[in-house]
Amino acid sequence: MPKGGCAMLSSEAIDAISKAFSVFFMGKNFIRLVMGLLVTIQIAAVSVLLSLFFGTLFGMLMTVKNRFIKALCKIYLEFMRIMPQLVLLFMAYYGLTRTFGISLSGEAASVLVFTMWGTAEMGDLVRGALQSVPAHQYDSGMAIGLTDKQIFRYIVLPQTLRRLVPLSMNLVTRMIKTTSLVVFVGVIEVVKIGQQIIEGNRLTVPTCSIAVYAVIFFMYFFVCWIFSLMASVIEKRQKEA
Amino acid sequence: MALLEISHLKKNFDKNAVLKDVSFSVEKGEVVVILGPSGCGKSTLLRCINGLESVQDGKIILDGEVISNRTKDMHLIRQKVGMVFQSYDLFPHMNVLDNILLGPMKAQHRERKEVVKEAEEWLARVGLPDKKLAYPRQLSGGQKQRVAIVRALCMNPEVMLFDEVTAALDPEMVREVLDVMMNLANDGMTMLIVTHQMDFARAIADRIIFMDEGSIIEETEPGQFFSNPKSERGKKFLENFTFRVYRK
Amino acid sequence: MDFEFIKQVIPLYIEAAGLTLHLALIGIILSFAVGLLCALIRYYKVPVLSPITGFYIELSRNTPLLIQLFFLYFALPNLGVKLSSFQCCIIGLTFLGGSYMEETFRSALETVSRVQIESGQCIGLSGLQVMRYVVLPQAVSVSIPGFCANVMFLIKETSVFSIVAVADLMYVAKDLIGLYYKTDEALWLLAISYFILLLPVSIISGYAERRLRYAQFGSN
Repeated sequence: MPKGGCAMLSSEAIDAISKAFSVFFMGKNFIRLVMGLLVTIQIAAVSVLLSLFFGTLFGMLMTVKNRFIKALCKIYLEFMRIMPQLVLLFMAYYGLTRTFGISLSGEAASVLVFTMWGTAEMGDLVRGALQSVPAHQYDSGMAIGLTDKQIFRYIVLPQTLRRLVPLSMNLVTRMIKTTSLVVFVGVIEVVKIGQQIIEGNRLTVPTCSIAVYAVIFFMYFFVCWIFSLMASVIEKRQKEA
Repeated sequence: MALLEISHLKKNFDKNAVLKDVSFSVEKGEVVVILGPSGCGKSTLLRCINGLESVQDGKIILDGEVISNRTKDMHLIRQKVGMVFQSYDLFPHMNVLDNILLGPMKAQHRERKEVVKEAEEWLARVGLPDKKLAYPRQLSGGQKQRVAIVRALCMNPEVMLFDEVTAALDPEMVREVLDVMMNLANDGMTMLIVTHQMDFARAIADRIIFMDEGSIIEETEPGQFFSNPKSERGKKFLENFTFRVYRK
Repeated sequence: MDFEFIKQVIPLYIEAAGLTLHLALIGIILSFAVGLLCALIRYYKVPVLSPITGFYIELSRNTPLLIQLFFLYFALPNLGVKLSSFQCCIIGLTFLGGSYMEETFRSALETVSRVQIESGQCIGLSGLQVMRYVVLPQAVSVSIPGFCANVMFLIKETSVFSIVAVADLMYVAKDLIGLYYKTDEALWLLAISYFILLLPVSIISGYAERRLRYAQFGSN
């Protein structure tokens, strides 16, 4: 362990920390950070919405009887799962420019990549939920004379959607965490702004990086935590029902 | 002195009294069958005797020793009280022989050779001589239940508790398990049985204890109970098992 | 596609992959230990430690590894704690991985039903013996698919290490793009490298999951 461990408790350290947080009382630094976080959240929100839509379609596609389509879907899913998101981000941002001449902004590349990844994950969740509806539900539906379409609409779909809600919340949380990667492709988001603040205050508050990164840390924590709490509340309510 | 003595047992779950002042005793070699409607506390009674549930008041005395609400060495006491559940619950990651050997070898520190011999004898007696290396997933329900009984027997308990052991079995398999229990009774094992199999209860019991809503309503010998129960509730209970009004 | 270039830079990729694997392995082993310890604490609901562990898990599951690394590498020096980039990566990965492993192990322990534990108790086994002979063996097999998934996850997470100046695969790729403008070649090799690292894990994970489903399907 580093030798500086004891320094954590010294008065100089506490001094440094309190001085560091003073950077947030200067100008609009805190607001700037929040704006940066909003950029991240925007990218995540757009990607999530698109993923929910396409993912549901993709999930239904995965339950189709055609073996060829199923295999293609499986390959797509596995590819999206195996590749680290950052690699996909690089491929979209740097690769597409060279190969196809399309120049995507960092934001656009991010939304593209996250949507493609989110669609795959969401699709798998939808497929799992569709397949987990017990067989005797279908039997019961047929026994009271419903057509296949009616069975799907009145029996299968509602149950599937209910199972999906907590799982999608989990996906949303993961999406928000992954959006932190956009700093690698030049998007001006919360970390970049944080770095700007640190640079700008290098002479006045040299230790402000503690405060800045701590605040960013807790910002991410609160946003994600709220979603996980919502997910567990929904899950609990469903279990009671 | 009775082998097992239950004295003024009281048990609550949250605020509900599940056992209300239950007292009775069991002599060595006696077979006692406990009957009653669902929820009357029969399973809870067995679980209290085995220490799987705590009691709020009263005593359970085995062979002169108080065993109720023991915090420390309950696992040693449990070696003397064998229990077989409705859900048999063999350990799925072990084969039949290992399932049977686990208790005697690890809890009683007996020699493997000796226990294996005993296990093989019992397996032969219950009709499963060639299943000792099979895994639970390869056995039928009735076979699993018989193995569960052997597993409990190899601990050489003083008394055996049976909690509705045939309730989860397909009808064809019920008989093979009941036969095993009858043989055990004839060999002189002290048994406390909870069951819904009325004919079997009548055949095997030395004494019937009829419970309802946490109390003992009637305690008689089987012939008396099944032909002419003394209590109203006993009469009502037995009526559940007979169809007296026939369609033409 | 410049194959000469590819041939020249492959050693760089191999070296970087080795470094990635090295860091990932240390992280995985430490995460395993941390996760197991935390899982036992939470399973047994140990008084003071259990809620503290719970707080740690919430904290690490809701923050990206990148942010954790930033904090460790750029912020801590101001408190006098200077960690090398290597150390930051290990600490960050363990911090994150520990909670994922805890989740896997604890839910595996909880899969073993109450009745199994009671069956063990009924044949006279002590609490420790029940854990050792009945619960753990069953929990281990149940936890394997989740463990494999975590391993894959942690290897993927190592891709952010370049932010703290670790010469891993992403670093090499970005370097080559920046210096030589060989974008296609660099990216292809990057993708292939991660494939080679992760595909085996994915296959083993799928195999383990199928084996488990077979084993459980027939039990009790």
